[in-house]
Amino acid sequence: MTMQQEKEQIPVFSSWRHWYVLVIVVLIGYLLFFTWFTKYFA
Amino acid sequence: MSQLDWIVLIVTLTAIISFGLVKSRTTKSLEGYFLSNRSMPWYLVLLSIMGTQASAITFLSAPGQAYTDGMRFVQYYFGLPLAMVVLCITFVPRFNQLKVFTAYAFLEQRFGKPTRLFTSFLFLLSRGLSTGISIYAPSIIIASLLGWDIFWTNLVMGGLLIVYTVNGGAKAVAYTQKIQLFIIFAGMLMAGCMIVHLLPEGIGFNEALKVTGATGKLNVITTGFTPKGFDFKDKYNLISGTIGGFFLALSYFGTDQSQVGRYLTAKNNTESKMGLLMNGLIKVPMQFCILLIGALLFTFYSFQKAPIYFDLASKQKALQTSYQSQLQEKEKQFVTVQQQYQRYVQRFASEELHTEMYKDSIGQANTQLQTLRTEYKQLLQKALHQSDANDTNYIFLRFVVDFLPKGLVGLLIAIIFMAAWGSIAAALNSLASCTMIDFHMHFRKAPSLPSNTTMEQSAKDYRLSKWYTFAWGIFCIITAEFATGMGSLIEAVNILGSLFYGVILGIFLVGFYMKAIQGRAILIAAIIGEIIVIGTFVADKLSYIGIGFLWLNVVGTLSVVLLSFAVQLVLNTAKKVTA
Repeated sequence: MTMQQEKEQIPVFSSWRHWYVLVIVVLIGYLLFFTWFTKYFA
Repeated sequence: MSQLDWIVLIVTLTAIISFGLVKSRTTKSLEGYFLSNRSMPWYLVLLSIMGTQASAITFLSAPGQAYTDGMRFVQYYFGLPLAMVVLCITFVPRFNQLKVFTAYAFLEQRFGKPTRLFTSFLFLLSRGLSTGISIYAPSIIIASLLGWDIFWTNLVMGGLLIVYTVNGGAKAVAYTQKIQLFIIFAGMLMAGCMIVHLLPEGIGFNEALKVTGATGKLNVITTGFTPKGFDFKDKYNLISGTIGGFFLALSYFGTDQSQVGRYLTAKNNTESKMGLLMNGLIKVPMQFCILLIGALLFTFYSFQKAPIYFDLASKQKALQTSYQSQLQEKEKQFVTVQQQYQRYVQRFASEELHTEMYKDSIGQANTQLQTLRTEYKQLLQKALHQSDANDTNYIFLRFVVDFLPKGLVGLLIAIIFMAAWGSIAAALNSLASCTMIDFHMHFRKAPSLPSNTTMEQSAKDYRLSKWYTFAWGIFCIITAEFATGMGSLIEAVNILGSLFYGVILGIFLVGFYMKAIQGRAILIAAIIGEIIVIGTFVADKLSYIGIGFLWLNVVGTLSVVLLSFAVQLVLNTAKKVTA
């Protein structure tokens, strides 16, 4: 972790990496929902 | 429009301008004017980013896109969240660490002045032109639907926002975008509820989705694979949306000053990152909801008499030509098929059993309707000697004008204005900042860095920046006025953007990740990369290859990255040989 990161107050999580993982996990969640949505109404 | 609609429209727009003027008080310095003294919290950064990206055409075109092509357009945004992550890891810390005013200042530090000026010039050219079109595109639709004069519509669309943008700079832009977005979302939500409310009795939200699904319009996920393999010509699918959309979003948010200027207003790194990451979380469902309105609109018109062509002004013009009888015959056929289609839809929606049988009939009738609509457009194109007869942008507003109650029509028209203003205001602010910081301050005798100037010079620069904002506003309005009558210009500007975005992104990525590459190598690589992109585009146009425009961003970026490495190797070898 760099000096700059140490100074930053990261909201909610302890590191930015958790935020990045959250964004990717949510995107995967959207993709799964959209796949279900497409199949259900097809 | 009714009197009530006019009152709603005028009151809403006046309120926004007044609010912008009230929020105009800022420090009379360049940092205050262009970056709001780097004081914005993340939620304002988020709203400003969203308000800048979502232009009037976003709200006009997306529902129409879903109506004609289904919801697969949402895939275009799948790469955006990934791009936000990369921006937060690479671009944002670097920009904030260097305390840059424009994204291109980074390029000077990394590669030298020519690269900065070259890239900034490309930005000014493409953004100046595209902002003019951002004024013209919604103006022509509103003018056509409501019978307004295009000259005055352009002037109001591009002129009123100049008042608060010139006066208040980035702060006024961000605060007005916040209010604008709240009104826009409220208005779109009301429009969506009205569509469901106006459906026949017994047809609710679920039934509406069932009908829309039967016509294939709820095709959110498509793979792009055909029996012959992957279709590179297919614009919107999971793969092109994720990969191409990623490069496009990375380029737009990382290298386009109209966006970079928004998150540089944040008070620190954390606020910039939070604004971008939240955008990554919200953008996809937001677009999904806007597209869903279009899909529901399709269901609505499955129970109503849908026009064969939604731009009634062009239709009327075409009917006065020698193609009249052919157009009328086509419309007659359309009405007959539509009646049959509506009977199937009503049975399908109301019956629990035998739905599969009706589903096939609906699909077949819908295909027939689409074919008739396409043939009608082709005839209309010939009649009016137009290169494009696309009526996608008219679909949503046609519904608004024809079916929404008094007052709500005025609000929806106001929303189109506000959506346009949000993106145009940010563009004007960024155009002025690049002109002032990248060019004016570099070619004058006084110190070229804002931090080194005296109080007196700073006040002068502040006043001059206001004049640059004003001048760009006038330039964009003039571009919009000249765009009138050039139907294909919108498409031309979009293509122009995609031709340069990939190469510019490539330059930035090399700057961030490939430390060994120097200024000369990147310039050569950028020029060759640009030739490759243009060559790919020409080859596609001449049908030698088939490639969707999103892929041009990938081609441009990869070309610059790979070529810069190769050119630097050659230059290093040549240097050794000479030594």
